[in-house]
Amino acid sequence: MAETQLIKTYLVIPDLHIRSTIHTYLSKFQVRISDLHEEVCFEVHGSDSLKEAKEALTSQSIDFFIVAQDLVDGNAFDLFSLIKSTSSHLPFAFMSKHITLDLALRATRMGSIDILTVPFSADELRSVAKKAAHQIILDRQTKALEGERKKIRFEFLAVLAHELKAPISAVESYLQIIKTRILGNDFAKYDHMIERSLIRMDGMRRLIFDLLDLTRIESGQKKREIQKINISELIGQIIESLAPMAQAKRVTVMNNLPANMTLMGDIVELQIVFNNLISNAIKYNKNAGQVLLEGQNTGTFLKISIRDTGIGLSADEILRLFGEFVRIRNEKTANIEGSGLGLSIVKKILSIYQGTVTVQSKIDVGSTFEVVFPAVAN
Amino acid sequence: MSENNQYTILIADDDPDLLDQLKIRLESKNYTILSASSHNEAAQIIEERPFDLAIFDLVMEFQDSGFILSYKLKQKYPERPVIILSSMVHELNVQNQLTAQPDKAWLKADAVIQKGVRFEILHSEIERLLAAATNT
Repeated sequence: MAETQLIKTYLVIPDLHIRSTIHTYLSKFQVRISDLHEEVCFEVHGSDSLKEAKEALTSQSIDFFIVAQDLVDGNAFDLFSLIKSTSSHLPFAFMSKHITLDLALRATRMGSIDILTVPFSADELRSVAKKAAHQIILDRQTKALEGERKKIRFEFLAVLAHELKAPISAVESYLQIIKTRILGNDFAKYDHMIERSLIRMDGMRRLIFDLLDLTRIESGQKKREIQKINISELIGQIIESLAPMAQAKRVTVMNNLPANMTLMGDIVELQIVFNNLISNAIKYNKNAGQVLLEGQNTGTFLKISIRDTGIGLSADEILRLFGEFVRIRNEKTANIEGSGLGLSIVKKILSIYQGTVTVQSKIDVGSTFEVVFPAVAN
Repeated sequence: MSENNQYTILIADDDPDLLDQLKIRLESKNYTILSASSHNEAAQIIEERPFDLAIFDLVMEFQDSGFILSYKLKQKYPERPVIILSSMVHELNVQNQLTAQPDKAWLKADAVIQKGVRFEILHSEIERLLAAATNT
């Protein structure tokens, strides 16, 4: 459970009896702001003068003021003007023994969150304190979220800049070689370099989009829409969208999932999971190879396996496979581009569902990826 | 340095394009090139084939592949020069030319160069190290 949040409150009230009564009451007051899921309590300070209140405003990080109409050296509106000029978010309440409509309007127009008319009840005081606390907590949460967003945005840019260095360098270097005709004037000698440059550009594009997906998942910013999803139908649609990729390699993709396999989930998340796994099964397959999808619903879990007849992975490669920016590089994968993020995104999404992904593989035989969703996700 | 040189250089990088480009550029300067696309392939060449200078990518199968290969090479052939290429030279906080003993003793490499640096700079470093190795 989160810590209780402290609201530092300053009473500018010349009447010592009223000031000490409010001081005593608020110091013991603890309240739950339900919609913001926070508990708050109050630390109370005070004085009778505008001068001391101004000093507190500048030096004591006060969160909330309750100010009496008439002070020993000024009035409440003098302080309100100062508060507005230094911090537009700091809430304050107006207190008066002889409230009139004009005074109430003036206080409200200046931004007072409420008005306490003396004599006031404990309930009225609680209501004002809770209103102030709500505004303060909301402000704090908004600032924290903005800070978190800035941090995530910075990390996204730092990672993107780092990962783009290699492909940009590769494309630039190829262009320099072509420009200076190092291999002579036979243009056919440069075809391979042009092809490789296009592959690396495609890789950069995919990196950017994958990194955006990963950032959205990690920041929790994307709103999830949970609904009942027919997994077999979803996978059928994905296979259709990947048909050009499969046709280019003459790979056959077979969907043997039971027709009635359903899951409660966010459709975009599940599309990302299965699109990554099925496109990998095609990309890393042999020409004229096969991809087979099978599934099982035992009541306790939902299991989907994606088996390919591809190039396979060594034990070392399997250990590294789900890390971020891991690309398995060998002579067989030299012409296959990937961001290195796909499987780490799959793993992160599955963890949201308390699911898992594992792989079994044999070099030159193929790989089987198995995705398991526990019954609670169904 | 004569254009018809007889030097053989081992280059190792798991980025197939950067490996290919370096090979093309060095062959255009008449070096004979042995190329390795992985840490393991480079380790095998170190055991089995003769060469005069090595250029290792720092991060391959391992985060410090370049350092490991450099160490292995220096154990077998202490005077054979090694250049490590890294995309994070600044973060590594090492001198470009590791002539200072503490750095050289620890890293077992003769130079650490930023990836993407102009080829002329890399080539000039290669020539310097080969000349120094020939004179010892």
